[in-house]
Amino acid sequence: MMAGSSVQATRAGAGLPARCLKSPVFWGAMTLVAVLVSCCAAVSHVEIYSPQEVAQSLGLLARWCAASVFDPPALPGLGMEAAALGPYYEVRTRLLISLLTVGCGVLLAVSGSVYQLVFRNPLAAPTMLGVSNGVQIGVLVLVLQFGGVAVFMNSTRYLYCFIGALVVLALVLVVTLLVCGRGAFSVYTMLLIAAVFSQIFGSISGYIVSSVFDDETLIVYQEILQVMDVSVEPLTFALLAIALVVAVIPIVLCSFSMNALSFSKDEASLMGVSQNGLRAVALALATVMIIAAEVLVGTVSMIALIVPFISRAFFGAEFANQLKGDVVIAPLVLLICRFIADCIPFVGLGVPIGVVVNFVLLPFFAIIVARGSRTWE
Amino acid sequence: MRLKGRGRTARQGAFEVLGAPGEATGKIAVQELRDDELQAQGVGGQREGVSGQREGADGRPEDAGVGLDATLATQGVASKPKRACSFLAAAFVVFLLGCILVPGGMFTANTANNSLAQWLALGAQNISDVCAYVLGQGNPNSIGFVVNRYLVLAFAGAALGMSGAVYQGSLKNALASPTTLGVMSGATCGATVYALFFVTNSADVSVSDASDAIASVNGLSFLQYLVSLQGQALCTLAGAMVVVTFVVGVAYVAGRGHVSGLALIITGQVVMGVLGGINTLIRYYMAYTAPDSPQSYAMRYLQNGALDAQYTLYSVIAIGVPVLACFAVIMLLRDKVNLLAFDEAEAWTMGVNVNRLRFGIVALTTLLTAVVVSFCGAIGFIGFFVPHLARRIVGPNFRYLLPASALVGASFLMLAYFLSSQIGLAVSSAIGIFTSIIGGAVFIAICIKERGRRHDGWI
Repeated sequence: MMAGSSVQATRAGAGLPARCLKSPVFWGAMTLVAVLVSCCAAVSHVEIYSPQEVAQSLGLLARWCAASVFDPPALPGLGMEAAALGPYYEVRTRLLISLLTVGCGVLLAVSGSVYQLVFRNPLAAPTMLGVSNGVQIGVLVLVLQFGGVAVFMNSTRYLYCFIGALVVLALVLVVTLLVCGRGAFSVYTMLLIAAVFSQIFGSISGYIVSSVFDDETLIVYQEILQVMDVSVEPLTFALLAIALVVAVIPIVLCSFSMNALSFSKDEASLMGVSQNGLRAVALALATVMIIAAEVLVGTVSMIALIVPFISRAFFGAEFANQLKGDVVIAPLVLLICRFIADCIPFVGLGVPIGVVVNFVLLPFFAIIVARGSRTWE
Repeated sequence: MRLKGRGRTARQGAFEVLGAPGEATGKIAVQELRDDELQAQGVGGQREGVSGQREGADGRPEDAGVGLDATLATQGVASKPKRACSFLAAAFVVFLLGCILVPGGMFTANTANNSLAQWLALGAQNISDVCAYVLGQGNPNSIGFVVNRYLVLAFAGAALGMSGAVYQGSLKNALASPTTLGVMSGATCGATVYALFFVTNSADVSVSDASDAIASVNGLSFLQYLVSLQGQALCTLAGAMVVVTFVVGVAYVAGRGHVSGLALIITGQVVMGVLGGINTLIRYYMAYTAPDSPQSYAMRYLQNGALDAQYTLYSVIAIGVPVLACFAVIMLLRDKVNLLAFDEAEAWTMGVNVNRLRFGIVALTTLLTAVVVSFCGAIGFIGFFVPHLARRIVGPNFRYLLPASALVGASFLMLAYFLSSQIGLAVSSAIGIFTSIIGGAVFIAICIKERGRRHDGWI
């Protein structure tokens, strides 16, 4: 009996790590820990703050936020000594950057899941339609027009990048419709056309960057494109909130119906779902998500490709469960990559987070592709 | 299933099959072949034009068997692909002569006031200068630089066109090309690494104009010239080889013994993104820390492309010899490359080691791409678009598709450079824009024109 109990205990113990990995609460807790660590983390030019200092700063922030709801006081009026305010501003900035990173991680992962479901292919990525090129063109036009001053023009940058991405997307869709003709829309043709435009815009931007820009302008261009100086203005969070509300929430609300996209047309119609309509809407919303994420945090499209795989592996292929995984895993991965990027001593504004994400996730990508596992089940 | 005989379908074109012609006329049922096998045989996938009957000796229709028993009579039909190849060769010669002899800069501000008589006089001068240069009577008005430059472009275009055709055929993917597979990015990354770690004097890798180009090789033997290039060429080749090995290897493992098409393209895109990030980071670092250093200058120069230095006969030989050698080897293997369009099991039964052939030919093609990047920089779109265009002209049979791709690629790149020189943008970094815009426009126009008649992404 004792042996049986120990076997049962062993089995229960062995199942615990697996159960943890499949629990959104576990991943959410890990994400929260990552946010707190990032508040303490060393940026290359700033010292590390102790957990006590971070807790004090967060407490001060909470008190200030609560007070400002009813009666916005001046900060010294809260009774804090000047010495204790030292790390407050830096911790506040790190917290805001972490929250922005969390939000963008959600946008990226959910858009990746939607694209993979819509195209019914585990290797589909949101940037396949040339959105990244559109953002790049937007930044190019901004820098050509305003020069070095463009670094400080966040709202204009967002506008130009959105317009650039939408223009490229519209070009791809219009040409695809022209090529396919009515009623014969082909996804493969769309990818082919997107590849063509990607090469065209890539060569134009490559020429301008290599031949027209001097070194100073090149620095400005890279810093803007890679979002190396993350903006924590209210406008940034407003954009993030709009993208989450407009794009992510409808996807979450339709998560059960989204499963119908992986069925055949007949099966979907039995469920009362119009595949074509749902596919078009889902694609549009996912594109809004990826544009917003690229504008706010830079080119980190590997998150959109890899995290859905990890979500499916731990939470299953049912879309609602997969979304839970996306919401908790992607922020954690992106926070870890930002932490690594912040810790690497580099010139200027540091290593772009996109470069770190590519390096960190490339082995995962190779393993996933090499295994050939669709992880739909 | 292989057919024997040679003939013409009811609709259009000739399809070439193996074996001896027979006596009976008629058409062969080809329903048992797949579209890609038909395309490899040159039928073009229009199986609906082919019936399963033939005319018997008494003129009445009778069923035709499929395979060895089914025969067709030759009708004395000349091979359309052969004629097309001859036409392309003639067009190439015309383009080459035209690009060399027609004066450049017609639409620049400096020559805006030139009259027609002046242009004709310049053209006549060019003709006499070329004749003098070819006959070894010196290099009047530096016409030799122009000739050498266009010869380099011809070799580069031919190499890229062939590379694209081989990648698409051997990997059975319409989107495969040196750009989409990340090979160009790898080669550029290799050149960047070379500039970062091995360049101590920017003049070692860059020149400002023709006189610098001449001075850089003055007094050197051809062997010494090759040795001076070896570091840059080796790094470029190493970068390209590493990338293509990784991309094709991952796609091969993903496809469980055959190359998965979508895995290939996605992996190529991902690798392109990663290498682009590395290049960007290095450029950012150099721009920030050492903006006027030899390494920074060399890096910008190599990433733009070293075409500006390709004025000399040494350049022509250095790029021409490997291109011609690779072309010769690939042409020797062209019939086996055709078999890569079949199912692997069928190809194995015909005695072809599919994996070895595929990897060998991809390695050879990667070498071609690395040579082009080393001399001319990353010129996009030719490897992607030219094979599609050539396939429309001569069909998918590699016997004709390879030389056609080479000729179309050479002509296309020469024309792109010629057009850029007419508006005063004759620098290597601008060629990529011209090839992409012109090629993209033509590609999309063809797709629109042929809507609904494509198969699996081939145009």
